[in-house]
Amino acid sequence: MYDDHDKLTRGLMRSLAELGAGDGPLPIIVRYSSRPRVMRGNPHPVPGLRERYQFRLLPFAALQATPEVIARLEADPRVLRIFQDLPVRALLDTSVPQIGVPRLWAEGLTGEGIKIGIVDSGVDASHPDLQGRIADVTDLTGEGLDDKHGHGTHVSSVAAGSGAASAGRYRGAAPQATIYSAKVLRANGEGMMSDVMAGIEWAVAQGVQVISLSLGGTGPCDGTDALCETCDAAVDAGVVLCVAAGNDGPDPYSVGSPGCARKVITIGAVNDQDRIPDFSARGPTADGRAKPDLLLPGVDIVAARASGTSMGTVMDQYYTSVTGTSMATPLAAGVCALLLQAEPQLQPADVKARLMGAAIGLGADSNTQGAGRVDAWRARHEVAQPTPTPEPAPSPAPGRGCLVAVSRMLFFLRRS
Amino acid sequence: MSKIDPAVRKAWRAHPDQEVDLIIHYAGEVGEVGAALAGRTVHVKRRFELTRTVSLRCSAQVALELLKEAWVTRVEVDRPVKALRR
Repeated sequence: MYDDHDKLTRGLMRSLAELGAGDGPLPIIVRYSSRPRVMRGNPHPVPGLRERYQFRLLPFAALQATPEVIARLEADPRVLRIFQDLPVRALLDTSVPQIGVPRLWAEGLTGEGIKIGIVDSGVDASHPDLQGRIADVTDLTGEGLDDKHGHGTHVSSVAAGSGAASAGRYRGAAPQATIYSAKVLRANGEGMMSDVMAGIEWAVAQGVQVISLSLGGTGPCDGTDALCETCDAAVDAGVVLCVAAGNDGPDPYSVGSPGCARKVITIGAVNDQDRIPDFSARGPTADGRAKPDLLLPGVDIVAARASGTSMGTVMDQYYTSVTGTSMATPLAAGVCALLLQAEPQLQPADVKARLMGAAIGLGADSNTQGAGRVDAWRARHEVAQPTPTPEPAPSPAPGRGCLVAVSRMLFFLRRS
Repeated sequence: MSKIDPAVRKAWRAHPDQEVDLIIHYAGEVGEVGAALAGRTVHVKRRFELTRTVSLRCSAQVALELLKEAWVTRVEVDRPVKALRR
């Protein structure tokens, strides 16, 4: 086992050495010799120590501790090892397998022959991951075709990037689909509803089978505004629309337009542990319908970085890490492309029913998880009807100061 | 059903010279709507095909006059949207 000198990992020792006066406590993970006594609700809190999580399978605990407390833990004979708790990222090489996509690739489904419309901030067509993937582009902002924000390039590569700049590691869900990119968001990441409507119409006119919309306004909404009507009309025209639920969770009624549209597939987020982050918007809609419809990975997603932009946490020249239901949505669009390649006769309602019927329930109510987290392989091979999900908990009406639930998820504790 | 949010109508009455961006829902054919708008001081930005709507910019005073037209079924303010990253 470990002697006292080995208790602190090198990384933790380095971080402790770099701590300046006044720096906050460090997130750490402590391994005990036996299960520590239950920490939560400890009536005698220790100054400089904050309990974050106690693991069940192993005698580990996640804590937030000052250097002084870490020194005391190091001297404690019950403590075997102390690690620094480090951030983790859901790369495309983990988020794509999380939803079962590589199993469909192995069957030859790559999105080939499927056109995906990305209505967003444009696309950097020179990015290695998008070479040969961009079939057509249009600018509806008057700002020029370049993606000056970076959002559109990121979501395009989540849907259909080849991963060429990462030897295939950051490959999108449908790497052989073609992209039709309508620029409707300006350099500041904002645009107008009417521009988005025009972008959808343009994409429909190009003959796309799937449209990905990682944008929206604030909730609540009832699905009757012009943008929602346009989305529903596009679905009626035979196009699958995947729309981000929004990032204003965990309050109920936080799904904005066009996520509240009736016929679209509204996408919320999970992290790489299938936990639903607070930010993922919750239903119901203003007229009482359950939303979102499905969840996909949308936390710390590493994908293509547009040249000259710095959106998100820049990883290197070609990649950046971004969080949001924006990132989960093109992943859904890519999955839809795979299903449509396999079965071109599927109508938008069929695709939605397949995905919802095959989704993995996460134990949350339908206004939090919809039907659950997408499983692409099951959606392809296990034709099923949508499964009932637990009834949503009673929610206060909007405008009454909705209570914000305190998240106990490790992910957010790690960030605190 | 009201053609416009009452709060918006009230704001337009208070500031009739203000420029506003609108989405107009209409009944009838787009050609007729184009003709009906031709005589007014409006800047038609887009005509949509999937829905019976047009987007335009005009003064709040003109917007109030449009509300009286029978072919106008509903008027929305053209609102901003944003990329949904955190």
